[in-house]
Amino acid sequence: MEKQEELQFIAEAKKGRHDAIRYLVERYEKEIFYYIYKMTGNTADAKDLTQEVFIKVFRKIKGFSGKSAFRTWLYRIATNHTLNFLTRRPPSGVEKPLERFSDPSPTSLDRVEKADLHHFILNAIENLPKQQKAIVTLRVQEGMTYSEIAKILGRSVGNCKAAYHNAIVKLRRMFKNEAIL
Amino acid sequence: MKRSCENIQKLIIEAESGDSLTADLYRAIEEHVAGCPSCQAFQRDVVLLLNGLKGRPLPSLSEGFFEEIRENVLTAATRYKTRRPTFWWRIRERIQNFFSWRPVLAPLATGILGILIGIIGATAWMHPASRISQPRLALKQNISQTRDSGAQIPPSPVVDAVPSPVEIEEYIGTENVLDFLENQEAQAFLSYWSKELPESLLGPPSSETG
Repeated sequence: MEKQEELQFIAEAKKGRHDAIRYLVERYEKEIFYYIYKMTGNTADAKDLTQEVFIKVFRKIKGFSGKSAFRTWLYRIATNHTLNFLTRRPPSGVEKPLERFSDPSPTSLDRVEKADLHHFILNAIENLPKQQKAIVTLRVQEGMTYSEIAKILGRSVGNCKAAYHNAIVKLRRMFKNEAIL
Repeated sequence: MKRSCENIQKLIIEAESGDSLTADLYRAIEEHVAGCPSCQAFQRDVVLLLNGLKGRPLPSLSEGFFEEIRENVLTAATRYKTRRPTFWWRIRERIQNFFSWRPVLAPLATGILGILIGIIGATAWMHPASRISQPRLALKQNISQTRDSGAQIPPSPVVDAVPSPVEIEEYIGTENVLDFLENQEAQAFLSYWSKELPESLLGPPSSETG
């Protein structure tokens, strides 16, 4: 039912109807923003990229044939756009989380340690090759299946699985080297 | 079947990432991990690592953060709708779409084009006409120049530019030399070169001279 409703809104958005565009942005903006944030580690970049992704989506929406789910299509555009951005960006855009994040830890020491751990995680992910970074984010943090990831990245399921394994092994090695694990 | 540590570690990543494995595979992991300290440590690390990744905090955002994004998108959508895209803009957009969604097609098309050019080039090179065209062209030009100048026997600079019968034979083979000898325009040169042509190429002596 919800899918039918979404398809109707997509059809309306293709005609340029503002209500439909607003509905689709409202529905996916948070998901896409947080996904891009996890890839870039920077709020301002994630905000700009989210806007650009949605603008791109509505420019290209006439070309959306419905072969894949709208969400998968949206993620594909967001992933390509973010990976292009990461290729151009110098690798120092990760924010120190302590000032930026609200972390409900019981003690201040615990809070500092957690913030440092999360900062290290951000940096570790930042050091992964771009495709592996996308796969880890989509698999672990967005909870997507390999088949969805394969559609988004335009790769085979086996290829995505292998890249995911390599990324986890690489992250473990990085964490070991920093004596975090 | 006893599995290697590498194999078990792959299965551990799959299991801890939430992939559904068969009961046999879960049992194989448990049995292996029970007797292998390094895979035990690996499993513990993967669990910690994945929990750390899942528990990554999200930024605290100001109020109206998403409204701002929405408004910007809608404003851009309105501007896009009211501004009719130009012809060249649409062409550029189509080219961009084509190459962004078909990364395999561009190298494939280049490869096919390269192969086609190679085939055409090789065919042209192997065809005898391509190899005789240059001497024939030079010959024709020199014949015309000689005729226009009114000279009975080609002057030496012109003759130098014309390939000798031996060179012609090398270039185009005996059959083509005979064709060349039948050419009306080549008769002026024939008389000049007759002393140097091998007898076999001149054919049987005519009855008039005999």
